[in-house]
Amino acid sequence: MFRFVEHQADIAVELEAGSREELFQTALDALTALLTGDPDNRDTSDKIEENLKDLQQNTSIKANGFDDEERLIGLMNEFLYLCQVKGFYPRKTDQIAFNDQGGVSADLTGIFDRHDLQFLREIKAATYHDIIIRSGKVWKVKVVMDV
Amino acid sequence: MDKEKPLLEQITPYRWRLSQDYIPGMRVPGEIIASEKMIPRIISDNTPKQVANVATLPGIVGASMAMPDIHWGYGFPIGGVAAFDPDEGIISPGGVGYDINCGVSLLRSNLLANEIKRDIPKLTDALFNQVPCGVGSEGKIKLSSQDFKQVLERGAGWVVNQGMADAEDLEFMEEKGALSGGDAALVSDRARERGGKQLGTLGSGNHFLEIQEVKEVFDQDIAELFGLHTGQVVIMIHSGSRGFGHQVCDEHLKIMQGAVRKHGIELVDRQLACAPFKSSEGQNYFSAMKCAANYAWANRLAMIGLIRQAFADYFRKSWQDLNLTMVWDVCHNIAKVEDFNINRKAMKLCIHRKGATRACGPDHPSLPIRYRSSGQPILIPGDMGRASYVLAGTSEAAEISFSSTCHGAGRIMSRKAAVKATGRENIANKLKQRGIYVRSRGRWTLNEEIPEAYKDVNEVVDAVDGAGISKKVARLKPLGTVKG
Repeated sequence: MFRFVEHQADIAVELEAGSREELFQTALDALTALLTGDPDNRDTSDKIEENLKDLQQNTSIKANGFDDEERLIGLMNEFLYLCQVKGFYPRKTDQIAFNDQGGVSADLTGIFDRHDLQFLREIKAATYHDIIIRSGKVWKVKVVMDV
Repeated sequence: MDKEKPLLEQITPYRWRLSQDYIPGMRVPGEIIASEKMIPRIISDNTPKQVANVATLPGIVGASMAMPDIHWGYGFPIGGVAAFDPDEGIISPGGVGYDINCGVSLLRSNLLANEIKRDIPKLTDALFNQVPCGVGSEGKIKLSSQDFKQVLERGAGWVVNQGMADAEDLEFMEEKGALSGGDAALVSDRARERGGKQLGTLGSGNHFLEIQEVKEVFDQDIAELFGLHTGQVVIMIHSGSRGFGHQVCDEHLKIMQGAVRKHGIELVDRQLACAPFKSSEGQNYFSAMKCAANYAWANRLAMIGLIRQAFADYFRKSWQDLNLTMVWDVCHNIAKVEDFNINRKAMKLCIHRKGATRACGPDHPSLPIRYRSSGQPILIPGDMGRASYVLAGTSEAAEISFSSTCHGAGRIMSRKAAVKATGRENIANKLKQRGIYVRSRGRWTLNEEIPEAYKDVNEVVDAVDGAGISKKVARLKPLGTVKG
């Protein structure tokens, strides 16, 4: 689950999940909500008409890093690049996978190049500010994004 | 740390010291410029902690400073100023920010507010239609790869070369609208892609362009040198390097995560990631940052071209006949190598300003002849409901704050809280009742940017004036505002 929390200048999100993979998936879900929904009302309801679902495509992104914190921020910023520069309107994060070379990938479902699907805001980047992933029974992290 | 000791020690009415033993690892003390009234909020926001964090970075000189518009950021605080010895110190992308060379331009005019009062809504509409703004907006300027290279290396000079602005504009821009030494070859394809379609666009969030009235003049002589007088219409633009700058910062922050390990730098916050200034990582970032800064100057000047066109079309006069000329352009997110006297020794320092403005005093060699006796103009955008300001730099600023001053009002309320506070309120109507006409593209922009979300800019400006690092020249009242 994700929860947007108070941050004076920007937007911060607290993420909780049952596994590392789910934590990374939740991070991308939070970005999807910020870009496409109303983060204050947690309104991530389907804004796409039924017939557009036929236009959905699968794509993937990847990132690498020295540790999970770098991988998480890297993956989130790859996601932002895909959406804000490549015109991908995200719908779902399907799968997160880690490899032995310090990399992580995410399979995504969404729609490309539909200019009638507008993002609600621009997000400059996910930042490394105070980022510490806490693992255990519940995986947790707080990410601050510059908007 | 003695728990009885106050967190901040007052040195002068507007200067507060944060002890060097506030947190382990501080190499210098912190210093905050603020009025006594502002201190409780600054402490409750925990921003002294970020001032202290910056003070742990290698090679920092003097003090880790904060201006009165300080607020919690990520890594460096917003409103932070830090100077580093280029031989032993670092450079940090987080000390500049994602929006490299976010800054402000101000145009004067020969229009009077009371004569064009009824024109303001239509004029604002004209600007809204002429200057691309909002999330995902694309510019009207098509850049070839050669053009892009020129933008990154020549900055505002490229815009003049294209006939979109006047050569004289460059005389009245910080660094004449370009930092030399930006190597476009060091910029990634991804950054080019991210910025390629955005030249000449305003952006969103707290970026704006605004028709204003000079409401009050505090220093008649300096105002005259700046070409300002009461009742005059001026136009202010607040924007930066758009997605290009964001991408440059993100890429180099990632590189710096590895650089700190390579160079054995310990960080209290990963967003402070940095590299020795003279290292390859440091110099590559500095060069790419200059490219982004140059992009921002070109961006603002390109928009000025569009604004002049909108005014010319509306009034059916040339912009020259309307005297829509540049007062000044400042940047408030930047790192530069500047000259200072530290303990009577001339030194070059790598100064980081993140949400802070340069404040060069009289006789500074970088200033055009027109401003040599006054000091540079400093442009302080407030919120969209209250005021903006024009200040002048002082000689004292070089001694006190590395020739730096505030950059704006500073947020006190999160975007989430601002939206919650406004509910379904129609902010545009509320501002209209106050005589301010607003056009905005974003669904939540106006709610997030309500005046109450910001510190009172009057207090911020009084603090820098009281501290002696800037001098009040004029107060500007918003008349018509365009936001993304």
